[in-house]
Amino acid sequence: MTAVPATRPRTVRAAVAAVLIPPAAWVTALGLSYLVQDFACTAYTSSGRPPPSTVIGALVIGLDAVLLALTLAAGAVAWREHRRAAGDDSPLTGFLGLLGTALSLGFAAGIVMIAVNPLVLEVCA
Amino acid sequence: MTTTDEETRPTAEERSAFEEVWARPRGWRRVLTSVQHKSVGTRYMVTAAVFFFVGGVQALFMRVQLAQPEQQVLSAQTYNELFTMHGTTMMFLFAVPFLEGLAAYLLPLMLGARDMPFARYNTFNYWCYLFAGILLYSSFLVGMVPDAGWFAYVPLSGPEFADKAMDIWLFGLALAELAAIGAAIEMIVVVLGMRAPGMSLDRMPIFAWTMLSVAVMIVLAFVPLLVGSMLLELDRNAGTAFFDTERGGDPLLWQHLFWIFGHPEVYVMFLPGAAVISQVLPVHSRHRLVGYPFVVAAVVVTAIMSLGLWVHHMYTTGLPPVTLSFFTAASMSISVASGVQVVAWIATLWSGRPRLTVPMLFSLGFLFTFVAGGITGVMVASAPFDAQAHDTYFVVAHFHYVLIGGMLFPVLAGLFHWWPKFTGRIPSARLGAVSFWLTFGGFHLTFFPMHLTGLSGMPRRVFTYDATLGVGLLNLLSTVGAFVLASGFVLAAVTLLAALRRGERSGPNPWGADSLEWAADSPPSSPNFGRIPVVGSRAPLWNPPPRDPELDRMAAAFDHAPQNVRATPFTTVLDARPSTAAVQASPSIWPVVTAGGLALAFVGLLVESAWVVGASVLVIAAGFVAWELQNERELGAGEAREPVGGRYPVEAPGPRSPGWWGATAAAVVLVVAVATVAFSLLFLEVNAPVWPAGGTLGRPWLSAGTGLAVVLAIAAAWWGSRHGPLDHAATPEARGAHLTAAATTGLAGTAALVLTVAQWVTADLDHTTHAYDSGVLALLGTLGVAIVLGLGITGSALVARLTHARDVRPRIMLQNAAMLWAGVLVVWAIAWAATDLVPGAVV
Ligand code: HEM
Ligand SMILES: [Cu+2]
Repeated sequence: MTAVPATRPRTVRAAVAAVLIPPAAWVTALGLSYLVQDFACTAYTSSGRPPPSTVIGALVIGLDAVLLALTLAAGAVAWREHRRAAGDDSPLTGFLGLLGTALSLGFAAGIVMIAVNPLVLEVCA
Repeated sequence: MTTTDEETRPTAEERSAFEEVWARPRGWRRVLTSVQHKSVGTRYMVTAAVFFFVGGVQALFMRVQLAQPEQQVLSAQTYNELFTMHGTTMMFLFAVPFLEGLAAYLLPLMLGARDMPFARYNTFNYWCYLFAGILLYSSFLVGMVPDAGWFAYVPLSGPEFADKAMDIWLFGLALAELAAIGAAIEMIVVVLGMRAPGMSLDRMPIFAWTMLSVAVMIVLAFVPLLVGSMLLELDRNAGTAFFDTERGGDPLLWQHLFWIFGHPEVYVMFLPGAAVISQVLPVHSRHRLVGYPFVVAAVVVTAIMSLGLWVHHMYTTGLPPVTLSFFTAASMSISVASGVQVVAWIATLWSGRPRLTVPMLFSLGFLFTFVAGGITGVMVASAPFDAQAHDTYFVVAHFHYVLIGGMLFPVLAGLFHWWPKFTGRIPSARLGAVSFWLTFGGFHLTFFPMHLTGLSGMPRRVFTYDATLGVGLLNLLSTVGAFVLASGFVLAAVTLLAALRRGERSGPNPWGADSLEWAADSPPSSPNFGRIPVVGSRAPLWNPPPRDPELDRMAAAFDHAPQNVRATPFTTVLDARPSTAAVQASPSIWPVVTAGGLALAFVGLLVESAWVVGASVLVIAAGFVAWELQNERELGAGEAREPVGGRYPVEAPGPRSPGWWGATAAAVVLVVAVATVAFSLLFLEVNAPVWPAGGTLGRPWLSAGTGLAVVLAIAAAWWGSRHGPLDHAATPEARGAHLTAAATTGLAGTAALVLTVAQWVTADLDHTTHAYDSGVLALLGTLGVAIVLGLGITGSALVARLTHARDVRPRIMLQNAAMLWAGVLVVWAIAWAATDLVPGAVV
């Protein structure tokens, strides 16, 4: 319990990043998917041109795939830190690792749910 | 974990000097100048409780009118006014402020701090909120009661349809939102920086985790509403065109801005409610909370995802289906996260040895109601069902299940749980239990039948209904239930108030609870903790204190100390290692003066008197200057001595002192505000059938000049903040550099302001002709406000330089100024992108 700063700053920083990335990725996925899809479709419709649905749909899915990969990578890092912290007896890193893992799973599921929409529904209806 | 440690170092004189510096003001001063978090928190809660009873009486009037079909107790107009004021009161004047008050009271105690980080600003926020309430209710006095519903849809709330009542509503709202945003900044800083030594993030109470998440939500979600209400106000009184279809605006924009706020708002109420349960349930089950990391994850997921939910309130407004399904997905994910919390609570009950105390009863009532409300919520969240139930009593039933179940029952659980802490007295368990059964039974009797009336097709917001609809009996049940419910609330209030005089004395920890607030006296002394507790586990009162010399050294240094200035330990963000000493404000009259000035400005706008507005500007300016002078004088007293305990400097640069966090948070608020305006403009642009082709502001040199001036301001402030020694003992040497830096920053900022105004004046635009022009005005206006704030903090840095002998404080203030100016630069960039870049590029 003495000299706790022994928790190496590098690992703590990795664990913190792994906690922050999943929510940020989800917000970005939702925001960009909405903006790209809604604004692009509406912009074309209001200017009286047929919107290029497939392109827009592909763009949305591509974006979401990248963000999903990022989220899962953060989760992998978090899990690694969690496992490692158990050996080192550093409860803070262990906690952050577990939190990051849980967040990564939750937000990854969220991103998947966002990404399947353009697949199953008409993009610019 | 002792707070009154007899054999520790402080002598009797030191103790009394310490008590002197923390002494509470007396007499009239107590009313107007108290800034201590406990008095501010109490005021919030008492004021909010009063508004709750007012809103409750309004609900009873509505229920009387609806008891039988085709009654004429109230006119249609009065009914509209009542549901508008009931909704507005409950959402803006009761629920959120009450929780802010609870947090203001509890967070410092739970975290082991002595006050909120910016105690005077905290008080200022309270006064803003109080004046907001008074302003809203003055509408009854002048006979112009708002009647457009609590979400005030345009065009009903626009210039053609609504009278001054709407202006009152909008200004009241703006003040209340301002207070909430301020409270959020306080909560972020106290949780991140002012935890007891050793309370690393993994040992933080769930309540602190939740209030941190909620504060982030408030910054991201309340700012858009503040912006939205300003835009609507401009439409109503300055002739802009944001919501006017004829001129390129769109009423849907209001709905977007409102629900970007409105949905998270529901979680801003529910999450703290859930957090109260996470504190109360384990104590009364005598078992730690099961699954702590997963509960934290669930809270974060709920908070973030709720930000994406706004569009589900607009299922029936004809948005494209894919857009809608994005948001349905988010709704479903939130249900899962809430499920995680429910499982954690049930597992805690299961593994513990629960006691059926009054707080426990309310917690169980919450669990039951919340699960039931969640089920109807999933139904409402599915788009096809919502299209059917939309605007019927099914929705009214659903949201009262969520709001009363999710927020009010936890609040009552919390009140009965913390009452001994607040007052030192235990409320009667027998009366408490009766009040629980009355509220619980009354609640379900009122709102369960509403699901059925809704399914039978009774629309919401109607002042009466036809006998042939066949819902007379159900409505009668609801009305009877409402009176039972009301009697339960009255009895709960009576029980608590009676305990003030007759309750059994409680001692510090009557429930055998685990968190730090129970280590303080009941009620806590003014500084909360004479000796700051150190923390080595998640349940610091259930486990032995850690053996860690570094932590003990900090606790000893702050043991009834310092005695020349109010201060509390400031610790590192992640692991709460000892860092510096944060100075805490003493009583001051200026918060109430400035908040009063702000309220006066709104009154002046309402009565359209330039004199009143002018006077209010003077009051506000003078108030802030006096406030700043007082701040610096006090800090001067603090720095006149050596660091606390010889180790912990009284403020330090960067994230090691609260001011840096405050400046950063203010910069974020500004950026969110301008992003909202930019979003609005973009939204209008893509949705408008006609948009001025190639319309741009088209003043590139002036825009660039503005940006450059801001860059110069950042550079000068930053340069100044690099000069002079940080050491308390060092002789000052950078006076000249600081003065130069502050002056240069001020001049550059002034130039930026002039150039911003020039952009508008020289551009060939008229904000009354088209929404694009209105949008440009709003963007430049936001930039102007940001620059004025930058100038304000630069002025404070100057004052700091002039009042302090040593170099450290002006250095810090210049650094904070640089931080805020960096925010201004982002504001400038976003504004420029929205006025020139995007309109030039898109379509
Ligand atoms: C104390 C018991 C309460 C009763 C008997 C009650 C009853 C009612 C009634 C009858 C309506 C009007 C329905 C309509 O005509 O559409 C209503 C609306 C509403 N209530 Fe309550 N309510 C209570 C508590 C609360 C609380 C605690 C909150 C929030 C924290 C709340 C928030 C609202 C909102 C937002 C509306 C919608 C107003 C609008 O349509 O603009 N209510 N309530
Ligand atoms: Cu909602």
